Amino acid sequence: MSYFVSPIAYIVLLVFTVLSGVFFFIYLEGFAQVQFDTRAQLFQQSFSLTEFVLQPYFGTISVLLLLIIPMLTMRLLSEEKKQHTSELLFTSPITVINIVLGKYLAALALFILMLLFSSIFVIVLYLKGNPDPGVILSGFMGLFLIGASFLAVGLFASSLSQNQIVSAVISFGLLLLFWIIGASSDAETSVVGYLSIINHLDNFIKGVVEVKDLVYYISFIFIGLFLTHIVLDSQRWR
Amino acid sequence: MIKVQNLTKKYGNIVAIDNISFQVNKGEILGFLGPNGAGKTTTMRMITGYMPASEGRVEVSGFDIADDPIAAKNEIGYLPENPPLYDDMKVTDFLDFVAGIKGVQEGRAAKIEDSMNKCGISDVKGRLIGNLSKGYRQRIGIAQAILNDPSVLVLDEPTIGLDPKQIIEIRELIKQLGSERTIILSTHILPEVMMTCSKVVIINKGRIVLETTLGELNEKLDGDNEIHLKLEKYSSDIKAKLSALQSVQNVNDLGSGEFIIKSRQRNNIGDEIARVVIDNNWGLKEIRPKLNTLEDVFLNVISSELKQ
Repeated sequence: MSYFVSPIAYIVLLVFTVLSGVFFFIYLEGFAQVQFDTRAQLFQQSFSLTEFVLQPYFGTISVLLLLIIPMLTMRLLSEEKKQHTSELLFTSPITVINIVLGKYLAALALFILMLLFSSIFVIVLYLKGNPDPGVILSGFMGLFLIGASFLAVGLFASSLSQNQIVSAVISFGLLLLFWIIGASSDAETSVVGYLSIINHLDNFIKGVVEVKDLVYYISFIFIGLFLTHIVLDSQRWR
Repeated sequence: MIKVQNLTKKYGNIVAIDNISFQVNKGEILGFLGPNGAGKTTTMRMITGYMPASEGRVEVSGFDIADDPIAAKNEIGYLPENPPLYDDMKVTDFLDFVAGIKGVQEGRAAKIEDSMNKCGISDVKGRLIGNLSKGYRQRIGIAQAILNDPSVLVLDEPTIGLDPKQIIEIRELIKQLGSERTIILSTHILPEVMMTCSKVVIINKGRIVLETTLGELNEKLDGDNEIHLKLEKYSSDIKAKLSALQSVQNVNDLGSGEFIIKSRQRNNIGDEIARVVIDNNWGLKEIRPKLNTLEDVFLNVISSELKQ
């Protein structure tokens, strides 16, 4: 609710945009080198911008989000208790659902802004080159969904502790857990594989939008918000 | 109107608030007194719906806080013990945010302006709350509570952290607001109760030990018709001479020329004592009726509670 009046939002935006820009140009440079490598040309392979720049770029952004989002969400609810503003929120004529959604949407707004900033490079690429527009759209859709899921986990984590750092550690731990469970050997087919938050992003990056992936992210967000609601509601009884 | 019925709060086996009931009507200001840890804040938190009660009911302007929380909360302005402020917001941004969550739509800017003027914070409206002093923070807390013109105000130690001039201003404001509203305020400052409240509830260990109106309280404070006397000279026969007076019941010698004289009947014996003092040239320095302070009443009530 108070993101845009605090300097944190702007610092996060700046760091995120600079980092994603640096990665983008590293991939672009790599692409350019391969393009003019004579040995590679001997194999007469075609090198597409989509494969060499866009897809690794999207993958990198998802890692950046894993690192940045816990810092974004850590103070969402932890600070409320510390600054005694939870007393203001819970005695105002609004429901707990309003509070959870208000917090979530504020974080989501900032995150959308982050994605818009990081899309600048891709738009430039699209204007100057020939990447696949379908992959761009599905890639950003996937990033949006995975980021929105991260935010839901972060919000839940920040409802658990009054200490920002503890909240950040909890959300980072949870996210990493959901990230690496996909690394098991039979990830493609098993239930554990379906639970993995990153496996579902792969399809989006490849340009494939599937219902099962959409359902996964949407239910992930819903469960995160629902758990936050339960925690906030039960805290009043203590 | 606030109606509290058989309110109880338990934390596990510990009973923090034990079956308290009271009522505050429109136009009344209730002073809520008690030592630290008596349960004042807990009671206020239950009235405002921050905490659910274990047992009992709270009704605010006809709405039950448990059954109809949104309607009830709409009627309440609440200043918690620690003013709930976002340090990284500017004063006007914060009040605008509060107006938003309280659903103030019409005349929002005017209401914000009005509450800032009433609380004397207009001169810091563009500053970050985190940089402001305790007195300003407290007054922003009050501004926040009165912003949507609620019919009920619950103020947890409203004058804490303010300087003497601000205290007077805020008390005036509370009195002014109280004429057409229902107010509960808790405080440690006993004279504050005398100055602002029309009703007093004293709680100790989660139970009401005294519930009274200001008039009844004043009678208690009138004391037992004792006179405090201070003399320049001091000799052992003074006590004997004073005790010899017909209307004097007993004399308590405090030493160094100070005496507490208790009269036999409930009438003023000042003249009689003064005459004796002047006739004997004892060097009168001070003569005044000894009033019970609210502190005495407070301590009396609480210590009698301890003996039981």
